[in-house]
Amino acid sequence: MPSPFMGIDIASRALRAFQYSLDVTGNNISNVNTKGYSRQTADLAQTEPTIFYSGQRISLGSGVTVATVYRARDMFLQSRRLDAQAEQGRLDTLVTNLGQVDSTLLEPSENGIGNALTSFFDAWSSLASNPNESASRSQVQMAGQTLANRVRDTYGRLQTLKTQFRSEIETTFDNIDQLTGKIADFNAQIRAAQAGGVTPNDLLDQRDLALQELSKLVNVSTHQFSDGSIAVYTGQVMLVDSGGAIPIPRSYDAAAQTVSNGQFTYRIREGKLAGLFQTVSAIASYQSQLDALANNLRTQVNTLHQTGVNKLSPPTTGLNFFNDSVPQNGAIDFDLAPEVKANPDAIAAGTTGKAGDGGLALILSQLRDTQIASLGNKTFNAYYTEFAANVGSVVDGYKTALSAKTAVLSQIDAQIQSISGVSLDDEMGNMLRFQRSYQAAAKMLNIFDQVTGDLISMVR
Amino acid sequence: MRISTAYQFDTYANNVRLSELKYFDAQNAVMTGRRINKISDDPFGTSVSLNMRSFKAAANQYKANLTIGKGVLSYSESALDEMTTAMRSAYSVAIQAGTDTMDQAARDALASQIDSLQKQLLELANTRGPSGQYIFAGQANDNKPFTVTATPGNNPLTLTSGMYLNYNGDDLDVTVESGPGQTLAVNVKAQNLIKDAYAALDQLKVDLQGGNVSAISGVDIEKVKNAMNAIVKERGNVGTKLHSVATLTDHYTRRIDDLTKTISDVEEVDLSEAIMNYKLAYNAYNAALSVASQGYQLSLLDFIQ
Repeated sequence: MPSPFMGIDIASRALRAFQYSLDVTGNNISNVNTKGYSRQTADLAQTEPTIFYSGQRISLGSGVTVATVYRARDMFLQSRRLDAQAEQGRLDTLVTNLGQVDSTLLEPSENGIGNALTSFFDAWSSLASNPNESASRSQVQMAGQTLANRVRDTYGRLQTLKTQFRSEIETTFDNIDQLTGKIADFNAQIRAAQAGGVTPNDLLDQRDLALQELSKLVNVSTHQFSDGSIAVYTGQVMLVDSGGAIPIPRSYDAAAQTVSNGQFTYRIREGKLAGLFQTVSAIASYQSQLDALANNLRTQVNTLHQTGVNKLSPPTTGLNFFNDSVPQNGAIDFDLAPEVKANPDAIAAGTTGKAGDGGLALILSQLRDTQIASLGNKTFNAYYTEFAANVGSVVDGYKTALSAKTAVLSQIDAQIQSISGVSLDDEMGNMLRFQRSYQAAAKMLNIFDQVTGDLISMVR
Repeated sequence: MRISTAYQFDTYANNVRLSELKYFDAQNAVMTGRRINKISDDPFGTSVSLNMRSFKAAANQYKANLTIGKGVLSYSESALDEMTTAMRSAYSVAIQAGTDTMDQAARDALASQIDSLQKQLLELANTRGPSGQYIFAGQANDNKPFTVTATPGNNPLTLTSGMYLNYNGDDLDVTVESGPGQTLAVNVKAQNLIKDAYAALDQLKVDLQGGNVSAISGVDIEKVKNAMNAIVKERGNVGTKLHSVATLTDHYTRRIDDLTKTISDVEEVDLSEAIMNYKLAYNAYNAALSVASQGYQLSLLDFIQ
């Protein structure tokens, strides 16, 4: 025979369960804007039935209880998100950073190297056609100076960007270590909580959030341990293990996209860090192309110019037009030769020294259409145009890849949100449901109370 | 599929932001009139535009060179013109003196007229060009090319009078760059031309002074005429060159116009298309704003009492 107070027990359990459910709903509504929060649901379950004998054994349901508070999370989608986010992080970094490189070239405009190159050869053409005019020489001097300045300035701007991105790499290393430290802390707390038999939903959410942040910086993969903690790797580099966080090796090779701990070398494939490595190595390659441009201009122009006789009094020969040294220094110190810088009359228009001889200037002007072997058989202009167009199409390519990757990421996000996100409409519905259920349970308690009262008054 | 509230709001915000960005870009295109502001806006277009710009600058330079050449040629033309006039005067003097009816006093007067024509010829032969260069001196054009001296100088020609006409220039071409791999000689190689003319005048002068009428009518008239014709012929050559300079200049002017158009086609927006795009973007932005603001307002909360 069950207890006469069983109904009251059932009603009070129901009240408690619905109260909890309302609380969970309230918590969901409160966290509708919390980053990384996963929607929770109170899993209701029947309590153990009461068994009694009334001619035969009868099992009587004893009410409801909250079994667990479940965190809506799809681990597979989460790990896909880690991958997509790492790729997006790399592309985003590249688009932003190389976009800055693109802007430093100031093309297409009157202010770029392309224009200066053309003006330089034009000035020689003008001198070839009018060697008697002293203004022609000044024009060559100015055009040469402008060309040298623009090549040097562009190189310098690239150098500044490279330095900036190198320091950003250090910052990224710091951020990675901070995040892995955080994850290791959460690991410890989660392990402790799980050992106490509790599922710490809030800690799991926060650890996931930290992991998501980390995946923007480097590609990560995880391994789940049975005690609730996770190990985190990027490629083969272990960043977090059960013992705690391991600082990421900081010696790196941007061109090879690797980090090294002195013993092993690991490739970083994705994430902001990989993007920064690629940025730095792209800038270095752009710089070396500018170096090649500067050095070939030096060699080609100087070799010809040395054969000329200038207009100084007395005339001299064998002078360089651009400064030069062995080995050549590239774009970093590209400038006019000091003699030419000091006096435009140091510029030679011909090889005979005659006032009307513009023969050498003509050859120098025709250099514009000469294919230079060490520039891959391209003319100076073609080499530069290809260089500039390449800078642009690299950015353009990354932009396209980025928008594709962003679309993928937002797809994944939509799926994740569909599972884990809080919908206020849902929650309002739930709230009404639990409110009504609570009201019904209260009414039920009221009835049981009356029934019990009636029972007691019977014996009075 | 469940739509979570945060996702719903984020999506509204994202879509509004995207259409705002497109709207802004379309606005920008209309306002700046430029299609390519950075290389990555259109790498291929940039490469075309860089090439075209370099072609255009070169064409401009060739055109400027031709203007320089035209200057030198025009100076040469007018100098040769005046030389022709001087020789024509000398020729009529020779014809006049070739008849025997003149007394020596009259012949002396004619001789001094020839003398001043000689001076004029020498002056014209030493004409300076637009940049102060001597246009009849070849490449060695910073020295006065023709001098008359009592003792022989460079490349001397012994004159009938016993003086020497020296040439300090050379026989090299002065050229302008008129196109890729093309040059145009813009000077007149005048050494022999001037020497012949001057020598003819000199002999005429000496014969006039000496009253040698038969030599005047027999030899001098012919020589002066030949020298004059040589100058006229050279002037014709210069005229031909001036014509080809004008033709080439026209060619470059047209080419520059074409290139300017190509560059603007590549770099600049087609305004009517840009305005169409702007209108489309405006409407899309408007629609996104209106849909989002309605979406933001709708909620079950409004229906719960």
